Amino acid sequence: MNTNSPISGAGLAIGFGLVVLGAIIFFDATQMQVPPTYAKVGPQVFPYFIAFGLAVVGAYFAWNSWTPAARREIVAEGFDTDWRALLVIGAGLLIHLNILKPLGFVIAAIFLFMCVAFAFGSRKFLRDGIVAVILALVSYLGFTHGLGLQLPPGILAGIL
Amino acid sequence: MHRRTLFASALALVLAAGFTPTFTSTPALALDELRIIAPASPGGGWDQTARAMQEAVQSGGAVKAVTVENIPGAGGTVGLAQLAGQEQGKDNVLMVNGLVMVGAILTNKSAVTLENTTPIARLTGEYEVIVVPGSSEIKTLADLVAKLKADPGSLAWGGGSAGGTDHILAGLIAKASGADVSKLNYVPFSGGGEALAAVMGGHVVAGISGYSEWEGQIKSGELRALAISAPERVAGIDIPTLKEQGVDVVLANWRAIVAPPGINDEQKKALLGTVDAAVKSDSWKKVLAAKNWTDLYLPGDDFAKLLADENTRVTEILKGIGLVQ
Amino acid sequence: MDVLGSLLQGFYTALTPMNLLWCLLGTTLGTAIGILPGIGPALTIALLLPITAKLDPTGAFIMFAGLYYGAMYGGSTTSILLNTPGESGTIITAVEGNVMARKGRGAAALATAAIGSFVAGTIGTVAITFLAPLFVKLALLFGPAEYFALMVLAFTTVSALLGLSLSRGVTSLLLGLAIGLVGTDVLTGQPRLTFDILSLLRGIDIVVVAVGLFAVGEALYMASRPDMRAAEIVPIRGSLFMTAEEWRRSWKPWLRGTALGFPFGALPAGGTEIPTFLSYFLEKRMSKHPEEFGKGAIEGVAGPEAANNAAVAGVLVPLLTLGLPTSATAAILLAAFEQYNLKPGPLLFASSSTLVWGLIASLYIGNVMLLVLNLPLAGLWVRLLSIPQPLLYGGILLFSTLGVYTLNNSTFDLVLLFLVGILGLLMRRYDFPVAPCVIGLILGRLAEAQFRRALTISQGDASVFFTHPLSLALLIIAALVFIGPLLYRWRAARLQSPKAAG
Repeated sequence: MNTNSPISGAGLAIGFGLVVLGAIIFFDATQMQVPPTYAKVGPQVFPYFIAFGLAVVGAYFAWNSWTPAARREIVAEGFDTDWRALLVIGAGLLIHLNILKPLGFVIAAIFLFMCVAFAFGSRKFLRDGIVAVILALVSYLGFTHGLGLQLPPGILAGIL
Repeated sequence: MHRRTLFASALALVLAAGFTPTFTSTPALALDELRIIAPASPGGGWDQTARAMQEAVQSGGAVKAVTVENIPGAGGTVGLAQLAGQEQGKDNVLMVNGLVMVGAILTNKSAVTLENTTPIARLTGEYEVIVVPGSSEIKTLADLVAKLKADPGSLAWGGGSAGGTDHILAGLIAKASGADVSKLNYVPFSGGGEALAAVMGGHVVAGISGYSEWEGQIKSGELRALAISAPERVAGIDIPTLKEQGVDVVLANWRAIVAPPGINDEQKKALLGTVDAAVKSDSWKKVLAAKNWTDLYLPGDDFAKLLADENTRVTEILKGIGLVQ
Repeated sequence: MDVLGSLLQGFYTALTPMNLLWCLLGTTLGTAIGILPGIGPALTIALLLPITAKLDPTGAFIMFAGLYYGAMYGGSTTSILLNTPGESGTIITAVEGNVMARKGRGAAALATAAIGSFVAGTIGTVAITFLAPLFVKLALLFGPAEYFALMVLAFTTVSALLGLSLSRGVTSLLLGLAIGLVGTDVLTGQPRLTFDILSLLRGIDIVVVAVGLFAVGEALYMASRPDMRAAEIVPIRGSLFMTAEEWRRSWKPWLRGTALGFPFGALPAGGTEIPTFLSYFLEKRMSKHPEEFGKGAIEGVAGPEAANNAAVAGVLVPLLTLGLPTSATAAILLAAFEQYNLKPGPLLFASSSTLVWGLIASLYIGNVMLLVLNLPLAGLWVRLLSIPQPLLYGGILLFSTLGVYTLNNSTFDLVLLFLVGILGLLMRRYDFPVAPCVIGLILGRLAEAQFRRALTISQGDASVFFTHPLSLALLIIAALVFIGPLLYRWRAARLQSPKAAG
């Protein structure tokens, strides 16, 4: 991070994000239709308060992004970020939830486990694979047969 | 991974091919598997109905595997959306529903309604009771109605979720007794326990709930039951009906079973046959007795007509209350 | 009725080999499901109901009670070791417990949690045995106005968790409140912040947020920090179990936590979460080392852990004596009673005294079993920390997604989990505390609903909060708790400033 910059980009982004969130909540609340009996304190009152609060803290963060002292407080970015690891886990989670029903819990869970292990720097694929298969199978069988819970069997439907 | 997938699908194919011919001999009930959707979490009324139906169908042996799938959320409309969407046209899926869903569709402004289903049959139901705390100065339904007419706002009713059966009944009572429905002071509680505590503690004036939920407290005298919403007195329950006390309202919190839209008459007949056989099984009768459910079996077109009637009645009352625009 | 005689009779019932076996099965299964986020006792008992229908009711209830207690023991284990709360009542435990684990005091944290749970569970059971009628009266005194006042009091305790920067703590709290808005409004059935997405109508589950912020957020954050990944965690530093110092600092929080937790459990809208917040707050205020809070203060584990187990005991009071379910699990237990054609309530003690007293006796036995089960295991559990990180976080995410999926059998909840996980990553990255967010989510919904219920009943007259004596008393306490420290700081500053100037 460029600490010489007069403006903290992250601080501005956080402040702006909070204000936008407040605005969304405010707009949503204005759209509500309130039955007469409940009109005194209706479903829109609390959202207004929360929207106002978010706008205030958002403005505070954005405004503070210009002062050097607050900037040091807001953005503690003195470390390297492993974006690749983040990307692998993020993609792993997204693919997992998309293959969970079609391919089944066991395969989706093994896939997710392998992604996370890879992101955390493991290259011992055999060991990870064995652990993943055991965990996925044990939890699948334990839940579906032990508790009668429905987990998607997917393509392994006839086998497990 | 790829090879495993292939292997698995091949194996599944072989298995499927091996099993299907056994069932072609009984065309009316040609179901390998039947999925019953319970549009609620495990444990609730709809889930229990689905699981009792599962056992009853299985006991007949006509269907090889019956499974229950829980799709909870938003008064059952999440499950309904799935039934009308991705299950459309499937002849091996059923879904439990009930009066609560009629109200939930309206309050949630659900795009999918019960018209997007194929009605099969009403199964069971339960009548509602109107209670006051045992120590209340309100002794009869007439006292309650008088208070309701004089100042509807001063009579706080406690019951279940907004737009649910309890709320609908409060609205129907107000309307039938000539009070201003739009001023109905109904306080929804989340969960039966909270509403019960509010009534017993005297924090609300009156309470509404299914009879069995508060049966113990009524019998022990902590709650005084003023009326029951049945058409005539129910055997074994010593509570006068609303009707005999001059409030012309009958309401059953019914539970029913529907099929996905887009199935043909033959498929509908097969499903109706499966349900009909299940309802006549010993397994089902045993469950009814054990759980104290009232048998309100009403199959086919009669049920479809009931659905339409209930929809009209509920829409009108929820509009009167102001929950639905 | 002679309570002691009945209790002895109860032990006679519970100590049969078969019933002991049910108790052991329940406590073991309870510990196991407690460890898994998202899968709680309510769901497990609901799923076991059809299976147990064929058992005799006494055995089944003894198993359920063990399961219920066991889940709280199990939930704290993952909170402490993996910073992943297994149950919502153990969220606060993660705050101090996980810091302790990272410092090599994980076994001590587990031990204080287990012993605290035992103390609280046992005292709670004694209270059920002898004081049930008293707490039932208390429970019925609470109407919407009183609950709202109680929520206000609970909100003030957030101040103990805000961390170093007030603005960031408040932001986290507001985010929690905003997440709590999503879904159908309880009073009017209006959809809020649902953007016409059907699955959002049911609201965002506390489990999704807790698991997302803690487990997924933590995994993402750790993955993004190669420098932290390299840091080795030593499972045990110093003595394996609690030191004399740790014992000395634990026993009072255990007792205070129990005193807070039990009445909350007995309240119809109490729950296990709020007493843990109150306990944490109380311990921080009463501690001689408030500066250690946030850096692994053992009081912050001992108090809340006692509180959540005492609350679990408290839940049984209105359930058995009034037939009044005060939690999701209690509602399922009620359904279980109905399955056997039993009606909990005043008549139950007379009509099925063998079952009731057998159940109460089995609670004592279950607590002993859980202690025996959990104390020696603490030494084993901490070995979890020496599992290589890739496998550890792989496992955490596997079980997190499994637990969240089973909430509603919906992949939509996994989408939410992913989004909340990213929020958790950002909050960690920019030093926002996550605990206030969870507290805002839990308290916000309850506070709003009770506030509006009270005003609906009174037809808009806001004076109800001040004319009900109990509500007024709670509000005054809340005001004192909030203003007290400010006055104190202001006075301290005034006393300091002349010196500083001079």
